[in-house]
Amino acid sequence: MRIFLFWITIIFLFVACSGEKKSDQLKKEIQLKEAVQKDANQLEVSSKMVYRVPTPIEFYMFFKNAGGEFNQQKLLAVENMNKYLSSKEKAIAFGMYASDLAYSAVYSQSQNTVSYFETGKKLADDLGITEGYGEDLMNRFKANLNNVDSLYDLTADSYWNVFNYLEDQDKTILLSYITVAGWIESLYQAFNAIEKYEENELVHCIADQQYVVENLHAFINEVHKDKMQEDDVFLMVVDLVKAYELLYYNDENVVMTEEQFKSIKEVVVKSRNLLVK
Amino acid sequence: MKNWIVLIILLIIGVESFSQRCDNKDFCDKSLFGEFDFRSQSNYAQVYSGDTVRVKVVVYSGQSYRIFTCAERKLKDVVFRIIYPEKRFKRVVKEVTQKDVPIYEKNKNGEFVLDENGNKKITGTIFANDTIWGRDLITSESVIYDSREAEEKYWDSDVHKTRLIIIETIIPEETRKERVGCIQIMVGRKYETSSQFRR
Repeated sequence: MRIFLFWITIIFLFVACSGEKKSDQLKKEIQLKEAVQKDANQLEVSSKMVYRVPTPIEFYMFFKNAGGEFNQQKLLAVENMNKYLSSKEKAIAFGMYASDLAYSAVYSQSQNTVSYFETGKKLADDLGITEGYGEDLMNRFKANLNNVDSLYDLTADSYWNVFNYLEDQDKTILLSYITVAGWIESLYQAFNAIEKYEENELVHCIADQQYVVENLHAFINEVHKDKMQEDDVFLMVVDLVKAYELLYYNDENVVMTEEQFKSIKEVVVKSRNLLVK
Repeated sequence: MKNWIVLIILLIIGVESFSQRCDNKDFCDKSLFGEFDFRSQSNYAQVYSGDTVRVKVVVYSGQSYRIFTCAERKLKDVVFRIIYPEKRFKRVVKEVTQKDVPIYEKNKNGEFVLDENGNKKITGTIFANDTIWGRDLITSESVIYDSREAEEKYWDSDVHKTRLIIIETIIPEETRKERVGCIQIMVGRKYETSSQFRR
């Protein structure tokens, strides 16, 4: 026992010392950062804009409160998950399945929720995303099949944990593909659930996405400026920005005309069809 | 056995204390959270004294939001403001061109006189200005909440119209020693039912 305690102490001292070395290293990094900050770009470094967009679950809550109904018809088939092969395709699929998961959770569709969570987990494993879709969360899902509030909560947790993990790991390209694909899928499902254009809260909900697309575009432009005009997924956001821009020219009492509704729907459907395998 | 357990715990604490993830840190005042869900547009960042961080988020109509910023203790006097960015279009003259405009003959009743082909009869031309109008985008910002002046440490709002808002967090400059630490910019939406409430 004494020998065991001795080695435990040695290991602890070793970790503490390497921690001190890390602390010195951090100090050096801070000093280097100070030197970088004090050059001509100081204004950019010390004051920056970060762009955020609502998660799919927040979007669907908004859509539901506007009177939107659940429409199962155009949800992604889970069995097609294996058709997405590259990391980019898997990230896109993950975003879209995450959106369908959120849709199902908000409308208390338990079976769908579990099914989409399982699909998301497999894709997350393939992408090396180790947080948000662990076995523990999977077991909690299965244990709460009949508790719709818990399923909602677990769904919100899973997406949020993944988002923060990717951001912390600086995996911004994966994060961007997931966010764009998830949002296009959300918009597609929302359009799909609206039978025809009417001047009502649902159409207002669609029109309000002009602010989301503005922020999404600004985010991608900030982080992936060099890819903005080349990447096929990012170009979908550019097309949507152009379609939504027309809303700024409407008179104050006009939220969205029928023509604008159809035009934006066309862009959304076209984009979604390109993303789906 | 007790010493063994204490040593293991110290070992774990020693490793964990060098974690840099700001989202994992727990330094916000719990009383600020209320019954809001912060798992959508909240933001976590490592910042330095003198930094200003602006986060632009979307707030949906018909929803209730709570926003606040908290910072590690070593970052002193961190403040935040809520800003409404405005965009409006202003009608402006884009171009003025001059062109010849025909003068049509009219009879004593004020009606146009037509020639044998049924077209309006032209008696002459006049040089006139043709104004082409356009729209310029005007942007502005208005501060609607400042934590330095507010009674509450958070901003609560029932949103009636979907819009963008900017949360500006200011970390004061330090004269003696530059500090680095984490901030958490919390953007929460009110839960629909109390059973959904969770920190």
